[in-house]
Amino acid sequence: MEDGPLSTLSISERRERLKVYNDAWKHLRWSECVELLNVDKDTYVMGIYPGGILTFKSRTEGKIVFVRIPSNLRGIPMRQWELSFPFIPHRYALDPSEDVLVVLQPNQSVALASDHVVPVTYPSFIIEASTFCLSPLGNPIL
Amino acid sequence: VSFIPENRFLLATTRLGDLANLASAPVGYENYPALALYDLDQASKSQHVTSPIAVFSLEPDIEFDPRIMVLYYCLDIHSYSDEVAVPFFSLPSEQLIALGTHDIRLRVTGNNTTSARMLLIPIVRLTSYIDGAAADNVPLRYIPWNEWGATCTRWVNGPPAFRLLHGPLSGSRLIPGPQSDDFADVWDFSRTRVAQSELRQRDQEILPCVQTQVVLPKQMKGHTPVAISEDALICQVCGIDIRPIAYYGCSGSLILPQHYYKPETYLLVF
Repeated sequence: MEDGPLSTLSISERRERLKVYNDAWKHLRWSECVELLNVDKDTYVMGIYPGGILTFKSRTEGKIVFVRIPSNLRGIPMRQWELSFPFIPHRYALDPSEDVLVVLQPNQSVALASDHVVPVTYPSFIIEASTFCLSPLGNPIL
Repeated sequence: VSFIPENRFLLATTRLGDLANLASAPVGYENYPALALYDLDQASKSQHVTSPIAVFSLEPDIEFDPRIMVLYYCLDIHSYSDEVAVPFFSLPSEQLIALGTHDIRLRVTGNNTTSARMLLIPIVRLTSYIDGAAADNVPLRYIPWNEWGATCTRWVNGPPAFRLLHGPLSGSRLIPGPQSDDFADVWDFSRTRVAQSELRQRDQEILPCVQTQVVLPKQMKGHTPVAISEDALICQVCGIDIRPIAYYGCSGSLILPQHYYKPETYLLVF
Protein backbone atom coordinates (compact mmCIF):
# COMPACT_ATOMS: atom_id res chain seq x y z
CA MET A 1 0.00 0.00 0.00
CA GLU A 2 1.26 3.46 -0.78
CA ASP A 3 -0.03 7.03 -0.57
CA GLY A 4 -1.57 8.53 -3.66
CA PRO A 5 -0.57 11.93 -5.03
CA LEU A 6 -1.48 15.08 -3.15
CA SER A 7 -5.05 16.13 -3.66
CA THR A 8 -7.27 18.99 -2.59
CA LEU A 9 -9.99 16.46 -1.86
CA SER A 10 -10.16 14.91 1.58
CA ILE A 11 -9.93 11.17 2.02
CA SER A 12 -13.66 10.93 2.70
CA GLU A 13 -14.50 13.00 -0.38
CA ARG A 14 -12.34 10.81 -2.56
CA ARG A 15 -13.84 7.69 -1.08
CA GLU A 16 -17.34 8.98 -1.74
CA ARG A 17 -16.45 9.81 -5.34
CA LEU A 18 -15.00 6.36 -5.84
CA LYS A 19 -18.07 4.69 -4.35
CA VAL A 20 -20.43 6.59 -6.63
CA TYR A 21 -18.20 5.83 -9.62
CA ASN A 22 -18.03 2.12 -8.87
CA ASP A 23 -21.76 1.89 -8.22
CA ALA A 24 -22.52 3.58 -11.52
CA TRP A 25 -20.40 1.06 -13.43
CA LYS A 26 -21.71 -1.84 -11.38
CA HIS A 27 -25.27 -1.17 -12.49
CA LEU A 28 -24.38 0.48 -15.81
CA ARG A 29 -26.11 3.66 -14.70
CA TRP A 30 -24.64 6.30 -16.95
CA SER A 31 -25.36 9.90 -16.06
CA GLU A 32 -25.58 11.32 -19.54
CA CYS A 33 -26.04 10.29 -23.17
CA VAL A 34 -23.96 12.51 -25.44
CA GLU A 35 -24.39 12.51 -29.20
CA LEU A 36 -21.17 13.34 -31.02
CA LEU A 37 -21.77 15.66 -33.91
CA ASN A 38 -20.06 15.70 -37.27
CA VAL A 39 -18.32 12.36 -36.89
CA ASP A 40 -20.42 10.19 -39.14
CA LYS A 41 -19.33 6.58 -38.81
CA ASP A 42 -19.17 6.18 -42.58
CA THR A 43 -16.86 9.13 -43.04
CA TYR A 44 -14.50 8.60 -40.13
CA VAL A 45 -12.57 5.70 -38.66
CA MET A 46 -12.77 5.68 -34.89
CA GLY A 47 -9.99 4.87 -32.47
CA ILE A 48 -9.67 5.04 -28.70
CA TYR A 49 -6.50 6.00 -26.88
CA PRO A 50 -5.23 6.21 -23.32
CA GLY A 51 -6.43 9.10 -21.27
CA GLY A 52 -9.96 8.80 -22.59
CA ILE A 53 -9.23 10.28 -26.01
CA LEU A 54 -11.43 9.26 -28.91
CA THR A 55 -10.17 9.92 -32.39
CA PHE A 56 -11.98 10.05 -35.70
CA LYS A 57 -9.76 9.91 -38.76
CA SER A 58 -11.35 11.15 -41.94
CA ARG A 59 -11.40 8.69 -44.80
CA THR A 60 -11.45 11.45 -47.40
CA GLU A 61 -9.77 14.52 -45.92
CA GLY A 62 -6.54 15.32 -44.15
CA LYS A 63 -8.20 15.61 -40.81
CA ILE A 64 -8.41 13.96 -37.41
CA VAL A 65 -11.11 14.90 -34.92
CA PHE A 66 -10.29 14.41 -31.24
CA VAL A 67 -12.80 14.05 -28.43
CA ARG A 68 -11.86 13.98 -24.79
CA ILE A 69 -14.43 11.73 -23.19
CA PRO A 70 -16.10 13.59 -20.33
CA SER A 71 -16.96 12.25 -16.92
CA ASN A 72 -19.55 13.79 -14.68
CA LEU A 73 -18.47 11.63 -11.78
CA ARG A 74 -14.83 12.60 -12.07
CA GLY A 75 -15.46 16.19 -13.11
CA ILE A 76 -13.81 15.93 -16.53
CA PRO A 77 -15.28 18.28 -19.12
CA MET A 78 -15.78 17.17 -22.70
CA ARG A 79 -13.58 18.70 -25.33
CA GLN A 80 -13.70 18.29 -29.09
CA TRP A 81 -11.15 19.67 -31.53
CA GLU A 82 -9.59 18.78 -34.83
CA LEU A 83 -6.25 18.99 -36.59
CA SER A 84 -5.81 19.30 -40.34
CA PHE A 85 -2.98 17.96 -42.47
CA PRO A 86 -1.90 18.43 -46.06
CA PHE A 87 -2.36 14.68 -46.57
CA ILE A 88 -4.72 11.93 -45.51
CA PRO A 89 -3.28 10.42 -42.33
CA HIS A 90 -2.37 6.79 -42.70
CA ARG A 91 -1.68 5.77 -39.12
CA TYR A 92 -1.15 7.69 -35.93
CA ALA A 93 -0.47 7.31 -32.25
CA LEU A 94 -0.67 9.66 -29.32
CA ASP A 95 0.37 9.99 -25.74
CA PRO A 96 -1.64 12.61 -23.84
CA SER A 97 0.66 12.52 -20.83
CA GLU A 98 3.57 13.63 -23.02
CA ASP A 99 1.44 15.74 -25.35
CA VAL A 100 2.73 13.83 -28.36
CA LEU A 101 0.99 12.94 -31.58
CA VAL A 102 2.72 11.01 -34.34
CA VAL A 103 1.09 10.75 -37.74
CA LEU A 104 2.28 8.51 -40.54
CA GLN A 105 1.76 8.82 -44.24
CA PRO A 106 2.00 5.60 -46.22
CA ASN A 107 5.65 6.32 -47.00
CA GLN A 108 6.59 8.89 -44.42
CA SER A 109 6.44 9.67 -40.77
CA VAL A 110 5.56 13.21 -39.84
CA ALA A 111 6.39 15.22 -36.78
CA LEU A 112 3.91 17.76 -35.58
CA ALA A 113 4.70 21.10 -34.08
CA SER A 114 2.27 23.79 -33.08
CA ASP A 115 2.63 25.76 -36.27
CA HIS A 116 4.15 23.46 -38.83
CA VAL A 117 4.32 19.93 -40.12
CA VAL A 118 7.69 18.36 -40.70
CA PRO A 119 7.89 15.36 -43.00
CA VAL A 120 10.63 12.91 -42.22
CA THR A 121 11.61 10.19 -44.60
CA TYR A 122 10.44 6.81 -43.46
CA PRO A 123 11.77 4.80 -41.70
CA SER A 124 13.76 7.46 -39.86
CA PHE A 125 10.87 7.90 -37.50
CA ILE A 126 12.33 10.88 -35.68
CA ILE A 127 9.76 13.07 -34.05
CA GLU A 128 10.53 16.69 -33.56
CA ALA A 129 7.82 17.83 -31.20
CA SER A 130 4.24 17.45 -30.33
CA THR A 131 1.25 19.32 -30.31
CA PHE A 132 -1.59 17.32 -29.94
CA CYS A 133 -3.10 19.51 -27.32
CA LEU A 134 -2.05 22.71 -29.06
CA SER A 135 0.59 23.43 -26.47
CA PRO A 136 3.57 25.68 -27.20
CA LEU A 137 6.24 24.25 -29.43
CA GLY A 138 8.20 21.72 -27.45
CA ASN A 139 11.58 20.13 -27.67
CA PRO A 140 12.31 16.89 -29.45
CA ILE A 141 11.00 13.96 -27.47
CA LEU A 142 11.63 10.86 -29.55
CA VAL B 1 1.68 -4.28 -30.82
CA SER B 2 0.59 -3.02 -27.42
CA PHE B 3 2.62 -1.07 -24.92
CA ILE B 4 2.40 -2.36 -21.37
CA PRO B 5 3.73 -1.07 -18.04
CA GLU B 6 7.43 -0.99 -17.13
CA ASN B 7 8.46 0.34 -20.54
CA ARG B 8 7.75 -2.89 -22.34
CA PHE B 9 5.65 -3.86 -25.28
CA LEU B 10 3.95 -7.01 -26.42
CA LEU B 11 3.82 -8.09 -30.04
CA ALA B 12 1.39 -10.65 -31.39
CA THR B 13 2.55 -12.59 -34.42
CA THR B 14 0.70 -15.21 -36.42
CA ARG B 15 4.00 -16.95 -37.15
CA LEU B 16 6.82 -16.84 -34.64
CA GLY B 17 9.42 -17.66 -37.25
CA ASP B 18 8.77 -14.32 -38.99
CA LEU B 19 10.14 -12.24 -36.14
CA ALA B 20 13.41 -10.52 -36.87
CA ASN B 21 16.37 -10.76 -34.53
CA LEU B 22 14.92 -13.80 -32.91
CA ALA B 23 17.31 -16.37 -31.69
CA SER B 24 16.49 -19.74 -33.12
CA ALA B 25 13.11 -20.77 -31.85
CA PRO B 26 12.65 -24.23 -30.41
CA VAL B 27 11.65 -26.82 -32.93
CA GLY B 28 7.94 -26.81 -33.46
CA TYR B 29 7.38 -23.16 -32.51
CA GLU B 30 8.28 -21.45 -35.78
CA ASN B 31 5.02 -21.85 -37.61
CA TYR B 32 2.69 -21.12 -34.75
CA PRO B 33 1.29 -17.84 -33.43
CA ALA B 34 2.86 -16.40 -30.31
CA LEU B 35 3.21 -13.34 -28.13
CA ALA B 36 6.67 -11.78 -27.96
CA LEU B 37 7.54 -9.43 -25.12
CA TYR B 38 10.20 -6.73 -25.59
CA ASP B 39 11.91 -4.53 -23.04
CA LEU B 40 12.57 -0.96 -24.19
CA ASP B 41 14.97 -0.18 -21.36
CA GLN B 42 17.15 -2.96 -22.59
CA ALA B 43 16.73 -1.75 -26.16
CA SER B 44 17.72 1.82 -25.28
CA LYS B 45 21.10 0.66 -24.09
CA SER B 46 21.85 -0.87 -27.43
CA GLN B 47 20.10 1.94 -29.39
CA HIS B 48 17.77 -0.47 -31.13
CA VAL B 49 15.20 -3.08 -30.34
CA THR B 50 16.86 -6.42 -30.20
CA SER B 51 15.23 -9.75 -29.62
CA PRO B 52 12.30 -10.23 -27.24
CA ILE B 53 12.98 -11.13 -23.64
CA ALA B 54 10.18 -13.69 -23.55
CA VAL B 55 7.99 -15.54 -26.01
CA PHE B 56 4.65 -16.97 -24.96
CA SER B 57 3.35 -19.67 -27.23
CA LEU B 58 -0.35 -19.69 -27.95
CA GLU B 59 -2.74 -22.57 -27.77
CA PRO B 60 -1.29 -25.28 -29.99
CA ASP B 61 -4.70 -26.14 -31.34
CA ILE B 62 -4.68 -27.35 -34.91
CA GLU B 63 -7.88 -25.36 -35.47
CA PHE B 64 -6.27 -22.15 -34.21
CA ASP B 65 -4.69 -20.47 -37.18
CA PRO B 66 -5.70 -16.81 -37.04
CA ARG B 67 -5.21 -14.55 -40.04
CA ILE B 68 -5.48 -11.35 -38.01
CA MET B 69 -4.46 -10.70 -34.42
CA VAL B 70 -4.91 -7.45 -32.49
CA LEU B 71 -3.88 -6.69 -28.93
CA TYR B 72 -6.04 -4.56 -26.65
CA TYR B 73 -4.59 -2.86 -23.61
CA CYS B 74 -4.89 0.73 -22.49
CA LEU B 75 -1.96 2.11 -20.55
CA ASP B 76 -2.80 4.29 -17.58
CA ILE B 77 -1.36 7.45 -19.13
CA HIS B 78 -3.33 10.64 -19.16
CA SER B 79 -3.22 14.36 -18.66
CA TYR B 80 -5.74 14.55 -15.85
CA SER B 81 -5.06 16.23 -12.55
CA ASP B 82 -4.53 14.02 -9.54
CA GLU B 83 -8.03 14.76 -8.28
CA VAL B 84 -9.62 12.91 -11.16
CA ALA B 85 -6.87 10.39 -11.79
CA VAL B 86 -6.79 8.75 -8.42
CA PRO B 87 -8.14 6.35 -7.35
CA PHE B 88 -10.41 5.62 -10.28
CA PHE B 89 -8.18 3.38 -12.34
CA SER B 90 -8.09 -0.35 -11.88
CA LEU B 91 -5.28 -1.84 -9.88
CA PRO B 92 -2.52 -3.18 -12.12
CA SER B 93 -3.17 -6.61 -10.65
CA GLU B 94 -6.76 -6.46 -11.91
CA GLN B 95 -5.99 -5.40 -15.45
CA LEU B 96 -6.37 -7.59 -18.48
CA ILE B 97 -4.83 -7.61 -21.89
CA ALA B 98 -6.90 -9.08 -24.71
CA LEU B 99 -5.78 -10.73 -27.90
CA GLY B 100 -8.41 -10.39 -30.60
CA THR B 101 -8.18 -13.00 -33.34
CA HIS B 102 -9.99 -13.33 -36.61
CA ASP B 103 -9.91 -16.49 -38.62
CA ILE B 104 -11.31 -17.20 -42.06
CA ARG B 105 -11.48 -20.77 -43.27
CA LEU B 106 -12.05 -21.34 -46.93
CA ARG B 107 -13.11 -24.86 -47.74
CA VAL B 108 -13.38 -26.56 -51.09
CA THR B 109 -16.88 -27.60 -50.13
CA GLY B 110 -17.84 -23.95 -50.04
CA ASN B 111 -18.70 -24.19 -46.37
CA ASN B 112 -16.51 -21.25 -45.46
CA THR B 113 -16.44 -20.10 -41.87
CA THR B 114 -15.18 -17.11 -39.97
CA SER B 115 -14.57 -16.83 -36.29
CA ALA B 116 -13.72 -13.88 -34.09
CA ARG B 117 -12.43 -14.64 -30.62
CA MET B 118 -10.59 -12.88 -27.84
CA LEU B 119 -8.14 -14.39 -25.44
CA LEU B 120 -8.27 -12.62 -22.08
CA ILE B 121 -5.01 -12.61 -20.16
CA PRO B 122 -4.35 -11.11 -16.70
CA ILE B 123 -1.43 -8.78 -17.37
CA VAL B 124 0.38 -9.97 -14.25
CA ARG B 125 0.40 -13.46 -15.72
CA LEU B 126 2.77 -12.28 -18.43
CA THR B 127 4.89 -9.92 -16.38
CA SER B 128 5.42 -12.45 -13.60
CA TYR B 129 7.70 -14.39 -15.94
CA ILE B 130 9.95 -11.46 -16.72
CA ASP B 131 10.40 -9.65 -13.44
CA GLY B 132 14.06 -8.95 -13.20
CA ALA B 133 14.62 -10.11 -16.75
CA ALA B 134 15.56 -6.70 -18.11
CA ALA B 135 19.17 -7.06 -17.22
CA ASP B 136 21.61 -7.60 -20.04
CA ASN B 137 22.50 -11.06 -21.17
CA VAL B 138 19.37 -12.66 -19.80
CA PRO B 139 18.54 -15.51 -22.15
CA LEU B 140 15.33 -15.38 -24.13
CA ARG B 141 12.64 -17.45 -22.46
CA TYR B 142 10.14 -19.56 -24.37
CA ILE B 143 7.12 -20.24 -22.26
CA PRO B 144 4.77 -22.94 -23.51
CA TRP B 145 1.02 -22.44 -23.48
CA ASN B 146 0.42 -25.16 -20.92
CA GLU B 147 2.70 -23.38 -18.49
CA TRP B 148 1.42 -19.83 -18.73
CA GLY B 149 -2.00 -19.80 -20.37
CA ALA B 150 -3.92 -23.01 -20.08
CA THR B 151 -5.16 -22.50 -16.56
CA CYS B 152 -5.61 -18.76 -16.18
CA THR B 153 -6.79 -17.32 -19.48
CA ARG B 154 -10.18 -17.36 -21.09
CA TRP B 155 -11.49 -17.36 -24.64
CA VAL B 156 -14.59 -15.30 -25.37
CA ASN B 157 -16.34 -14.22 -28.55
CA GLY B 158 -14.59 -11.27 -30.11
CA PRO B 159 -15.63 -8.28 -32.18
CA PRO B 160 -16.20 -8.79 -35.91
CA ALA B 161 -13.33 -8.03 -38.25
CA PHE B 162 -14.54 -4.55 -39.16
CA ARG B 163 -14.43 -3.59 -35.49
CA LEU B 164 -11.08 -5.08 -34.66
CA LEU B 165 -9.49 -1.68 -34.22
CA HIS B 166 -11.99 -0.49 -31.63
CA GLY B 167 -11.30 -0.83 -27.93
CA PRO B 168 -13.42 -3.52 -26.25
CA LEU B 169 -11.37 -3.52 -23.04
CA SER B 170 -10.74 -0.98 -20.28
CA GLY B 171 -8.98 -2.12 -17.14
CA SER B 172 -10.99 -5.12 -15.98
CA ARG B 173 -14.12 -4.30 -17.99
CA LEU B 174 -14.89 -5.87 -21.34
CA ILE B 175 -17.46 -5.48 -24.05
CA PRO B 176 -17.86 -9.02 -25.35
CA GLY B 177 -18.75 -9.55 -28.94
CA PRO B 178 -21.07 -9.62 -30.65
CA GLN B 179 -23.39 -7.36 -28.66
CA SER B 180 -27.15 -7.60 -28.92
CA ASP B 181 -28.88 -4.75 -30.70
CA ASP B 182 -30.14 -2.03 -28.39
CA PHE B 183 -28.39 -3.50 -25.33
CA ALA B 184 -25.22 -2.70 -23.45
CA ASP B 185 -23.47 -5.78 -22.13
CA VAL B 186 -20.39 -5.29 -19.93
CA TRP B 187 -18.37 -8.01 -18.24
CA ASP B 188 -16.27 -7.06 -15.23
CA PHE B 189 -13.35 -9.35 -14.37
CA SER B 190 -12.30 -7.42 -11.27
CA ARG B 191 -11.51 -10.01 -8.63
CA THR B 192 -12.91 -7.68 -5.98
CA ARG B 193 -16.15 -7.29 -7.87
CA VAL B 194 -16.42 -11.02 -8.54
CA ALA B 195 -15.74 -11.85 -4.89
CA GLN B 196 -18.42 -9.43 -3.74
CA SER B 197 -21.04 -10.70 -6.17
CA GLU B 198 -23.57 -13.37 -5.41
CA LEU B 199 -23.00 -16.77 -6.90
CA ARG B 200 -25.82 -16.42 -9.41
CA GLN B 201 -24.35 -13.17 -10.74
CA ARG B 202 -21.02 -14.55 -11.86
CA ASP B 203 -20.09 -17.31 -14.22
CA GLN B 204 -18.01 -20.32 -13.36
CA GLU B 205 -15.26 -20.02 -15.94
CA ILE B 206 -11.52 -20.11 -15.26
CA LEU B 207 -11.38 -16.34 -15.29
CA PRO B 208 -14.78 -15.48 -13.80
CA CYS B 209 -16.62 -12.24 -14.36
CA VAL B 210 -19.81 -10.47 -13.43
CA GLN B 211 -22.03 -9.80 -16.43
CA THR B 212 -24.33 -6.79 -16.52
CA GLN B 213 -26.73 -6.00 -19.32
CA VAL B 214 -29.04 -3.01 -19.65
CA VAL B 215 -31.24 -1.57 -22.38
CA LEU B 216 -29.94 1.40 -24.33
CA PRO B 217 -31.92 4.65 -24.46
CA LYS B 218 -34.66 4.83 -27.09
CA GLN B 219 -32.93 7.46 -29.18
CA MET B 220 -30.08 5.00 -29.69
CA LYS B 221 -32.16 2.41 -31.50
CA GLY B 222 -29.94 0.26 -33.67
CA HIS B 223 -26.78 1.21 -31.81
CA THR B 224 -24.59 -0.98 -29.68
CA PRO B 225 -21.40 -0.44 -27.62
CA VAL B 226 -18.27 -0.76 -29.75
CA ALA B 227 -15.67 0.55 -27.32
CA ILE B 228 -15.22 1.26 -23.63
CA SER B 229 -13.10 3.68 -21.63
CA GLU B 230 -12.75 4.48 -17.93
CA ASP B 231 -15.64 6.89 -18.21
CA ALA B 232 -17.94 5.90 -21.05
CA LEU B 233 -19.38 3.35 -23.39
CA ILE B 234 -18.97 4.39 -27.00
CA CYS B 235 -21.88 3.27 -29.16
CA GLN B 236 -22.36 3.14 -32.90
CA VAL B 237 -24.76 1.54 -35.34
CA CYS B 238 -24.67 -2.24 -35.33
CA GLY B 239 -23.11 -4.07 -38.24
CA ILE B 240 -22.19 -2.56 -41.56
CA ASP B 241 -24.38 0.36 -42.48
CA ILE B 242 -26.64 0.15 -45.43
CA ARG B 243 -27.51 3.76 -45.99
CA PRO B 244 -31.24 4.32 -45.77
CA ILE B 245 -32.82 5.86 -48.81
CA ALA B 246 -35.35 8.52 -48.05
CA TYR B 247 -38.03 9.23 -50.59
CA TYR B 248 -41.07 11.44 -50.97
CA GLY B 249 -44.46 9.81 -50.62
CA CYS B 250 -47.62 10.68 -52.56
CA SER B 251 -48.41 13.48 -50.17
CA GLY B 252 -45.00 15.02 -50.70
CA SER B 253 -43.82 14.26 -47.19
CA LEU B 254 -40.42 12.78 -46.59
CA ILE B 255 -40.60 9.07 -45.79
CA LEU B 256 -37.80 7.19 -44.10
CA PRO B 257 -37.44 3.42 -44.27
CA GLN B 258 -38.91 1.60 -41.33
CA HIS B 259 -35.55 0.60 -39.95
CA TYR B 260 -33.80 3.91 -40.22
CA TYR B 261 -30.73 4.07 -38.02
CA LYS B 262 -29.03 7.35 -37.33
CA PRO B 263 -25.35 6.76 -37.97
CA GLU B 264 -24.14 8.97 -35.12
CA THR B 265 -21.75 8.04 -32.38
CA TYR B 266 -23.06 8.26 -28.84
CA LEU B 267 -21.24 8.38 -25.54
CA LEU B 268 -22.88 6.92 -22.47
CA VAL B 269 -21.01 8.93 -19.87
CA PHE B 270 -20.49 7.84 -16.27
